[in-house]
Amino acid sequence: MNRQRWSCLLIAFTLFISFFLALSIGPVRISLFDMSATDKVILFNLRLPRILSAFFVGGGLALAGAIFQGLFRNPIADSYLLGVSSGASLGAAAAIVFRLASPLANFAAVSCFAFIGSLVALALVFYFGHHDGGFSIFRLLLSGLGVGLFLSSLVAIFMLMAGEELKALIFFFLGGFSSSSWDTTWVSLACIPLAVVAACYFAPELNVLLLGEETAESSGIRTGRIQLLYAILAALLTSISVSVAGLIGFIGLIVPHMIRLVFGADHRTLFPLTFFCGGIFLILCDTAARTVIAPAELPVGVVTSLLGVPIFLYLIRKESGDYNW
Amino acid sequence: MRTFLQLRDLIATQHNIRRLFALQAVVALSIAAPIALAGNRIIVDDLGFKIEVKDNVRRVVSLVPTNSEMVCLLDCKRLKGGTRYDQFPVEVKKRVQAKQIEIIGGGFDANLEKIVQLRPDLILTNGPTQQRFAVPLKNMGYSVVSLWPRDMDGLKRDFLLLGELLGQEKKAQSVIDDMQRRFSLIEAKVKNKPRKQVYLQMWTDPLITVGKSSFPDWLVAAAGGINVFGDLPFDSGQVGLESIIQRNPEVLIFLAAQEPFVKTLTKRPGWSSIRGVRESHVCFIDEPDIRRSIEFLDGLAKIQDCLFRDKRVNQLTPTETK
Amino acid sequence: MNSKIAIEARELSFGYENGLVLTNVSFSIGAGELVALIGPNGSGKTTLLKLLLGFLPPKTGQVSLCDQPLQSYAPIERAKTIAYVSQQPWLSFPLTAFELASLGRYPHASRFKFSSADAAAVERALDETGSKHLGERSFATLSGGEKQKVLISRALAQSARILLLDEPTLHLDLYYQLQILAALKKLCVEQRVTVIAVLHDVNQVLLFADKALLLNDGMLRAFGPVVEVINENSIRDLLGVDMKAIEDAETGGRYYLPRDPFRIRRQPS
Repeated sequence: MNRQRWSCLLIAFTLFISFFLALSIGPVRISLFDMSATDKVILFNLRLPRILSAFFVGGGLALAGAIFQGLFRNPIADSYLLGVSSGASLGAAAAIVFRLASPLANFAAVSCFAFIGSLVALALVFYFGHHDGGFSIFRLLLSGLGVGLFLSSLVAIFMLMAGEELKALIFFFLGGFSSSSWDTTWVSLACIPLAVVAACYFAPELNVLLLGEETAESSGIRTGRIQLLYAILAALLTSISVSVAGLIGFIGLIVPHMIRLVFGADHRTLFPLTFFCGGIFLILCDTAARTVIAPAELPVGVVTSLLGVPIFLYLIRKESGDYNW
Repeated sequence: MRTFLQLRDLIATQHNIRRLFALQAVVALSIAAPIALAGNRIIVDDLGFKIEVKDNVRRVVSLVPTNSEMVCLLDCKRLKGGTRYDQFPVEVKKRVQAKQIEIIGGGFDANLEKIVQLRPDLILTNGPTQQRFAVPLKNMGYSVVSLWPRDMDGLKRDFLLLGELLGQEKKAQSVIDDMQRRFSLIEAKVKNKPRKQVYLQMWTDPLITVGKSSFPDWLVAAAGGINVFGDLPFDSGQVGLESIIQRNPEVLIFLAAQEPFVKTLTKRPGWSSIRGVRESHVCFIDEPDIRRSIEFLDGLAKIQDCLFRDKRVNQLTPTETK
Repeated sequence: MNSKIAIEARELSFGYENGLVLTNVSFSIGAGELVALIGPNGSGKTTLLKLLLGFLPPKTGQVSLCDQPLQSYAPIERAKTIAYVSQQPWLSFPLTAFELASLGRYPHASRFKFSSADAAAVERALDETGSKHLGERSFATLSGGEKQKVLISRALAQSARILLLDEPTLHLDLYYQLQILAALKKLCVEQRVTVIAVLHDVNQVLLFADKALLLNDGMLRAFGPVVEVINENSIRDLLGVDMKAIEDAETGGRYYLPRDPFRIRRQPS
């Protein structure tokens, strides 16, 4: 217990520090105690929304990953691996190509279409990955891979179909936070905290679901509804993150795993901690992405992949000892 | 406190820009709006937006080489931020080296913080590719004008507009007049000649050419040719060898940098059946010759030379320039 | 629970378009009885369990728990009345034995606070299966038998009057098989918990169970006290194996062994 209390304090402290750090680091040197008028503009209109975006996207993707892992009872699941992120980007791309919404004019509408896309992807993965009342890691990863590739190819086709103007807009999905502004941040601010609260509220049910659908049902849980709710929450978190920052992978894999190592698998503590640590993680990755080769920027997805792929491979190796494949 | 800024689009130009950018809804925080509200003019840019620009523009940041060039031709001292690909005129390069111009990006990327730090009165972008930078900047209150010339009329108009914004109308007008005069001369040369079918190649593997409404396409037309792929609805696109053979151009133009790769094309089946190849009507030009710029006339002359020259040239050796 | 009847099935049947899986099953089980559910593979045992739990809706007939129809129970109420131990789940996440057993308190515990009463119930449940010492260990590191005991503890922590177990002795060595059956028997006798367990070993049934439900082809072949219902003929009819009854003077029990173990052929029923 004490170890965990200290860890909580450490997390809060790290959050504060990373926020502060990210605010002060950037291609333009700003000293927080002596700011000119332009410095203020940069800080409040560029850096602050950017950092908030990074926080909510990171937290959202980490939490989505934790939800998928609980939902499918598998440690190797996250929005990117399951193809749900690709579904979100397809939804948004379709909206742009067919002129139903524009990321510049009505970003919230684009997020809605991204949400629909992610639900479609999730339904497909659910359908192909389900096996005898459970989910095998093997089937899940493969169907996620298949669905993700298929949907990404559709996005590529849309990009070709689009004329130059629309093509440019799709640069949004090549991602990152370099064009962050309050416009895109307010959607995350409005939706993500609600989703986090909902996820944490029903955590006890998800705990029981870890033992299987039948056991959960016999404990008095309406498993169908809980699964549907969490699927929607995870899809929502994923789609908002993709709309804001494009395809960023592996956060949903790394962060929940680390938290479980320290705090255990109880979702009541796992979910809120994963959210905050995911946020911190992406703030730090984004800060690295924009300082390492300044003034140019690395795509933030590259940084998370560099860190995430080794952990992903390690997890596969560790889990391959079981026979639920 | 929220300020709402609504911009409505107009049917902008003779080009096919659709009404994607309908309403701009806006800003949450705007701490220091750097535009003084008195003494402004409202202009319509190439994407159809109405932009408010203050009268006294002293600091300009450009996100595209073409626009950097235009500013520098009028008054290079006022260009404070440019791209890393700015080459013309020579003065731009010098000023970059002397750190009088700050590099803020390279066309596809733009560092918003640096742009803001430069305290620009005017920010110049090109077309839709840069809208994702334009929008946050506009939301912060900056004047972001899109200058996106697709042909000579566009160049003229944009240059004159820029002249107006910088208070250099006379200078701009004289450059334009000069341009027009030289252009008329070039145009007169090919007035009565039959048009030549031209294939302009940007890349060898895969084969990439230029399509409708791209600047090189317009150059070819102005030089007296017809782009065999002028029906491609994109600026540039990948094509197959069979299509080239089928369209059978009489003249083939390659970028000089492609020369070593072009040799591999001669081995491909069907290549030698193309009219232009059989008649050895092949030219190499440099990339700056087809760039979008006020100085396009040099490039135009070269292309025209290539199309109508009588002198035959060896298979796939570079031509002599004028 | 006041009534003597814990769980009752009346003319239960269930099936899909291409046929019935269960036909006209009726029985009535009293409180504190340990009933063995016996039948060959595919006879409908799992389906019957699912009907009794309310996972599947019967085509005809009705299930009652403690004299109240099953459909009238809200899910949480039903969970407080009847608990289920399924086949061992594959757990990919680090839970301790105590944490896993605590999941059984879901119908009772408040959402965010695990009260001391809840903790006490879990401790008691672990104690009843002899797993108290396993509490802080990670579930994944336990042996098959220990895992099964913890899973049963989870169901016991649910404090339900009726317990259904699907092949609880599967994958266990003899020691754990007997230990678990003894623990279940103790529950029935001391706490009047009603247990229905799917079992395959006829001798174990005779040792521990009070009554046996014989199921074949979706039909109830027999239901009653084990000594009455299990004999050479009924075994041959049900399981297709020719067994010989052997009385043992020393233990005073009756055991069944296959007559010709090297030439087992399914006997016509």
